[in-house]
Amino acid sequence: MVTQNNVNASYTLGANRELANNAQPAFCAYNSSTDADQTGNGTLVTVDFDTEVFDQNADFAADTFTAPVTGRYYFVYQLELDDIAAANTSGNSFIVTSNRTFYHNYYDYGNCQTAAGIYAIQGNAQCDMDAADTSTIQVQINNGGADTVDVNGHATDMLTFYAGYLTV
Amino acid sequence: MTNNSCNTYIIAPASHEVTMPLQPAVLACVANDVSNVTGDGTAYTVICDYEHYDQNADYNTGTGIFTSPLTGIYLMFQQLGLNVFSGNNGYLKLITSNRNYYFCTRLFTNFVAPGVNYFSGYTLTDLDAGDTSTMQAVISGGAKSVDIKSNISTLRTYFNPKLVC
Repeated sequence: MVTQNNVNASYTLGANRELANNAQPAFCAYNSSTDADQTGNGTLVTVDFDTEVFDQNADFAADTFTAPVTGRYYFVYQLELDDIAAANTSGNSFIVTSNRTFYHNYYDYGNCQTAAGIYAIQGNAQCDMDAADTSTIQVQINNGGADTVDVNGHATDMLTFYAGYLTV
Repeated sequence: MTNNSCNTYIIAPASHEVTMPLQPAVLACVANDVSNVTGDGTAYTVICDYEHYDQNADYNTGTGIFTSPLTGIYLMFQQLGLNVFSGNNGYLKLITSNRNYYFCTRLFTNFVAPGVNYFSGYTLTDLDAGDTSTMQAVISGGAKSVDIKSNISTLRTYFNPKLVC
């Protein structure tokens, strides 16, 4: 049965038998202001997500998600990079977990940016995590001669964000 | 697992896989190409007019609006098939009652060859009961000549929200 413990009514059942579980680990955090000059010449940087939209089990802090229980977790992120220059001809982004790292977005960044120098990338993965394992998002843009690439943020709009939840 | 008097809403067979046939989950797509909708900066609201499934009848194929039936966390996936031209740049946008998400901001036609290409965005979002979400394409850098591409069996443009917790 769907059980309800004596402390928290964690399940919400809708009129049409929809089911929500507000105790399930699930979070979404975003960057609320632009972090300038983070990468561009090979610097590997852990991305700043300083504001939470939701964090149902209080598992996200200091840009890091910590798994409260062993299970399979789905993670998705977007990074809006700015001040990309033509010289930034390669780079990657990563989901870094305690068990393994997932590589994403190997591109010629310097050939794909808007006139304003913006290039937004996404990545996602289903990850196996043990209790207390952690995950972060990293990015590394190369060949620019200096670290002049920004990670954009905005007070309300979701430009750079990181989200995840326990799936099974 | 639990069976109310009307509907079985969680099914767990002997081997203990779980399905939830009444859980809000939508797969809707664009059935026919829509021509010349953006490219000059116009924000075009995409209407997926064909549903493959809509388990709780939450998506309106006439307006392109998904309405949350229950407060919770929803996994949103959207893909747009766009016929883009040299110089086109822009973004995809997911508009929810609480906040907006911007995806794929880039110069499209250096990322891919001009022609039909596919751009996607996904996120988790918090929706209260009655909140809505829609998807838009905002493409600039040229004339209003960018088309939304379609196919109902090999999906090109589609919207795929579901309640996850």
